[in-house]
Amino acid sequence: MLRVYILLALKVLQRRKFYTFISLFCISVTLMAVLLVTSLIENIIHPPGAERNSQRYLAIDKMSMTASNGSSNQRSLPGYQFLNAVVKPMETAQLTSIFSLHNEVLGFRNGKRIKSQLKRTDSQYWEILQFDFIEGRPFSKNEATQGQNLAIIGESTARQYFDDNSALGQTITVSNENYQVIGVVKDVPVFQINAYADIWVPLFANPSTAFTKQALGGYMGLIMAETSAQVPAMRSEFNKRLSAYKHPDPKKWPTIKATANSKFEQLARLLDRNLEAKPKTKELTIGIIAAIILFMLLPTINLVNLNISRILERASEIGVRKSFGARSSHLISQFLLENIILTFIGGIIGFALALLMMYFISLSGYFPFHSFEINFRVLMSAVSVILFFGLLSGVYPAWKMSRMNPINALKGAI
Amino acid sequence: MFAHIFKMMWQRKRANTLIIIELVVAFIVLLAVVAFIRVSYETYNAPLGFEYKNTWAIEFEPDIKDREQITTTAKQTLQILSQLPEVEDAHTMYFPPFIGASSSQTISSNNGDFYTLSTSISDGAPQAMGMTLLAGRWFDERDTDQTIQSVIINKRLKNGLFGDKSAINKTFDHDTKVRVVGVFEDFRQMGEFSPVGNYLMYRANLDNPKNFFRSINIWVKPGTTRSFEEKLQKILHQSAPNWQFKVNTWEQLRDSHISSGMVARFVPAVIALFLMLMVAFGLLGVLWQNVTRRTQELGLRRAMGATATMVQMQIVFELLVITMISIGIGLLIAIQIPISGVIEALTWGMFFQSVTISTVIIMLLSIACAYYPSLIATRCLPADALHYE
Repeated sequence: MLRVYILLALKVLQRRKFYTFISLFCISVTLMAVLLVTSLIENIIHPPGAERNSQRYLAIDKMSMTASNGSSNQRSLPGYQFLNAVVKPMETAQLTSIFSLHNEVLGFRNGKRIKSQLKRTDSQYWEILQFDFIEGRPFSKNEATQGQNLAIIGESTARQYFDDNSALGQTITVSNENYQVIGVVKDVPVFQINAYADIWVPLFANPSTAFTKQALGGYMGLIMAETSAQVPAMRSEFNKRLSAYKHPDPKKWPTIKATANSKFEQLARLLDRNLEAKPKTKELTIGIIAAIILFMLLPTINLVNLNISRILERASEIGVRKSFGARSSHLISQFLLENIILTFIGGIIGFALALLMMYFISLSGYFPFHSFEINFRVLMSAVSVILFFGLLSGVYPAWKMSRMNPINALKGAI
Repeated sequence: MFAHIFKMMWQRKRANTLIIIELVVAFIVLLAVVAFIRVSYETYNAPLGFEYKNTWAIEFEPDIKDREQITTTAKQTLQILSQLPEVEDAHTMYFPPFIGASSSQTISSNNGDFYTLSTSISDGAPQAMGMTLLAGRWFDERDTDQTIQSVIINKRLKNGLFGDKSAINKTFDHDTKVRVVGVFEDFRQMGEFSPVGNYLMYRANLDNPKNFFRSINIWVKPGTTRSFEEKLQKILHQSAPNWQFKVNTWEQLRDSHISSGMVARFVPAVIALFLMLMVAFGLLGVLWQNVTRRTQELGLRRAMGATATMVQMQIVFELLVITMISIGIGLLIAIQIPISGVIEALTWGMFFQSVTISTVIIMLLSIACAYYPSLIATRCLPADALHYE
């Protein structure tokens, strides 16, 4: 029976090519847009590449201090002093890292300026994040604490400075400091905020050590558990240590707030500045789904209208089937199946279109080094969107069809 | 004839519910995008209030948090910079323009609350930027050691706070009590795409670390090229070895502001275009099917003497009537935005312009969609209709 329905559906699609074209156009363009958005979000929440272990770590990237009289409130990234006191001694964390936010620095090659983003990191940073080394190695613990002037650079930065020659052992000068290149890694997309930079140098390769005394500003921490199941334990230890922490000037700054966030929470924190409240992950999820549904509203209504027209055209066929005893449920399931087949064909076209668009967006360089990746989750969300789309736009017309009066339908009218 | 069709379609409005819903949604989406672009066009063309040629911004990131020390070092750097042969003038500002960052306050007065962007600025900077003074004077030595801090405000804030009356020497509360010494045309720090708003400048007193700033801006001799930056970075590094400096020309900052602003308008426009294309195809499909089913009725009309043009008109007008009903409903929903005044930048004038544009687009769209089906309708022969079945 199913085979007959599918064959019939394909025949119907071929019969009126114009309708098929319109439906496929609507479905594929809509799905393309949905796929682009979901893949972008997916790449931020579950990044591939350097941050591929994101399920196992939390980032400490927000902090605020309130003065004793309550009038003054400073909010920024945490400072080295705070992270060193709170994050470094953590027991539940297998690995802990302190690193700076990326900073824009400038280098020159034959008088031509080269802009790069520079990040200062410790040595464990290279164990938590899985950079793909093209050549060379990360810096060791000794090199990091001694603050040797070493640098690991991204692929495209290497090309900017040394063309296609090997960068290993070469010296680059950025912001009037000389660094010896010991490693070249694959470029990291801008959305991977913990990993993103063009040049990575040791934390203490900084001529000044003033930063080690700052409680607030400029630095981030990563804490990584052995498995993702241990992340909650790590979080509660962080909160315990946070409440035990005292600012170097405790009289002036008695209240310290900070948060440890997963990738999705990092995104949700953008919605709410309150560090005490839970991150609005639920609101963000609902918001994203609502936006997608709203976007699909117009294409869905359009498809419903088209489907009703298609059905009216087939009134006599329905009339014949009804007179020979087909039940409403048969007709409804047949029509729904037809519609889902149509949406799936549109879905495949939309998928191809999305791949094409992703290729062009990557080429345009609008998001530096971002390459879209379609994984199982994105694919599953696309399939569920197609199913939802197909069912929603099919149910009303199918119901309307099943209620047709067979006598009128036979005559070709409603 | 039109009135007659309207009556017919009104009576059949239930049968057309879904098409009406589709057109209502399409109209609202289109109106939103058109209004957004219309408002953007207005803000883009509003005067910026300052010149951005031959000016470079130096944003700095100190390695220390002590404001007094920062101010001392920054002051030294400022002096060194202003003595360079390439540099005509050097001034401090809290943030340079076009970078999308500004400090802001809400000023409460008897006339209401005013959300205001602000910056500190050193003497002579407004003149160097080519800003227009409307009343009073710019900052000068007279503003040193005043018990009440001097500020200059833009015309919009002055009108809000003081109405038509002169604002010079009036005081109001802004963190502390401040006194207005001058009124300027405007200073749209955040760039062309930012909303037109209130602005306030207070005097950067380099001896008072409370007057903090984050950027030094230099006015270079015309013809200075980007290669000057290499020398500049060396000088900055010598002056403050552990600070990070970010150097950009104002023109460059503006270019990236404009291009990101353009992308933010281009993307919704493309989405709207695709949605309209979808709606158009959908209507065409529905109407086509509709016409082929009405052989009987249309053929009968032809038999009774209606010309082909009349039949064609009927089909087009029918869709136009549906479109008009939909626009009416859509308008009832959309008009809540200017009535409630949620979007301040959207004036009634701009709203009605956007409504007109959207209406014309939707009408043209439905005429285009009805045209081909209406041609098919003229092919209904009276003979076919009469021996139907």
